[in-house]
Amino acid sequence: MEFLAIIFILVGFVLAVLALYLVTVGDADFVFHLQKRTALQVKEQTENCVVFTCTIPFTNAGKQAGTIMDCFPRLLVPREYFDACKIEAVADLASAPRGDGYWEAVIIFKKASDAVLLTLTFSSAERNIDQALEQLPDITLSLVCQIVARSDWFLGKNRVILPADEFRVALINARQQEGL
Amino acid sequence: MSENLQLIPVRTRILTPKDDIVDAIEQFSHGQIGPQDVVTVAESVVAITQGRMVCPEDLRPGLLARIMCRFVPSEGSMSSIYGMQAAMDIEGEYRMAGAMILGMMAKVVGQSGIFYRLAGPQAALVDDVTGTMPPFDKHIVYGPADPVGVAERIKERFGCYGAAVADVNDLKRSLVVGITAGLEKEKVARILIDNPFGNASQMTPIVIIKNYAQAEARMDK
Repeated sequence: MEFLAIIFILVGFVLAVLALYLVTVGDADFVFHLQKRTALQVKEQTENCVVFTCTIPFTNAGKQAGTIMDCFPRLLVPREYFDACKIEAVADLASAPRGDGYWEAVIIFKKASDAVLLTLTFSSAERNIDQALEQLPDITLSLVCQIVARSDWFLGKNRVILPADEFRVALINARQQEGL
Repeated sequence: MSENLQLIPVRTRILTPKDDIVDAIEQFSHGQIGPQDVVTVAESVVAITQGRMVCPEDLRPGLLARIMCRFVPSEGSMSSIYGMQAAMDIEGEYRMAGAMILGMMAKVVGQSGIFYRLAGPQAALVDDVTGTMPPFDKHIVYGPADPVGVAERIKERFGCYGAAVADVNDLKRSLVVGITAGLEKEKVARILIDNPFGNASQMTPIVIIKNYAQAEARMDK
């Protein structure tokens, strides 16, 4: 009986140490610094199309490396809200942009940082893009990321609001640069 | 021996489960393979052509996988519950659990690598998410099935001196997982140590070791 008790105590001890280890070893924790988003800039513009970009920095603030398997912006612009032109949004990894709309899965080590490069394309087949953007409201999108680390994969969402004024300032700045 | 050899990486398009690796070698090598040559091919690409991959979303990790993955360093392919479960699905949960326990005990006395030796060949070959190039970067890719058989098929098709399926990376890790009879795994692994396959984006999963037979004959003299 004493022998059995010793065995139970030993097993209990090992399980307790294991549980403590699992609790302390931690997981990845991705934090998107929305307040540090860079201002919108015009990347290119034609008569019927304008492309804006900005970057949203993020950090893996956790204790483990994590993988961003996928990341995509989900525009929240129903036609009742704004339909003067077509809007497309694409997310890229700022440190290694691909430019083809494909998010390549990336490991982010603990305490490391990078950024999402957001590209928004406004286009209109029927009219001049400047006219189309005259009544542009604030643009809202969800930045959706599929993340996996030491636990089940999950989708994280961050709500990004791009003020209409910021688009206008970007356009003015671009015109001034062209004028130079 | 290596000073007499020429390593020719062969560029291909992205190979998929609809491709056959031997047909792909024929298509992209453009007749460069001779009877003195050894043809080597990257193991992950062979596995992809065999359809040996799975999306993490399709796996159901059990409790053992959730616990065991925590003991794997975060750079390892089994550090996620999905990478660990994928390896367990091939090699068996209890085999891998036993291997991990014995591996940890062996590490206490300074012996490393015991886990991979006991867990089975596939445990070391599983590539977790990001381990392979797009569009397979979001998949877990297993090791190839019957790599020796694949190597023998390559040799038979091209009449070359030999063939090998290899797992090589930029960190001076070179492992031959399947090779035709008469060739030495360690010799071929040493020749490939500088990773002539390049990185994934270069798309050169096939490397022809030219004049291998001649170089070997010279060495034996």
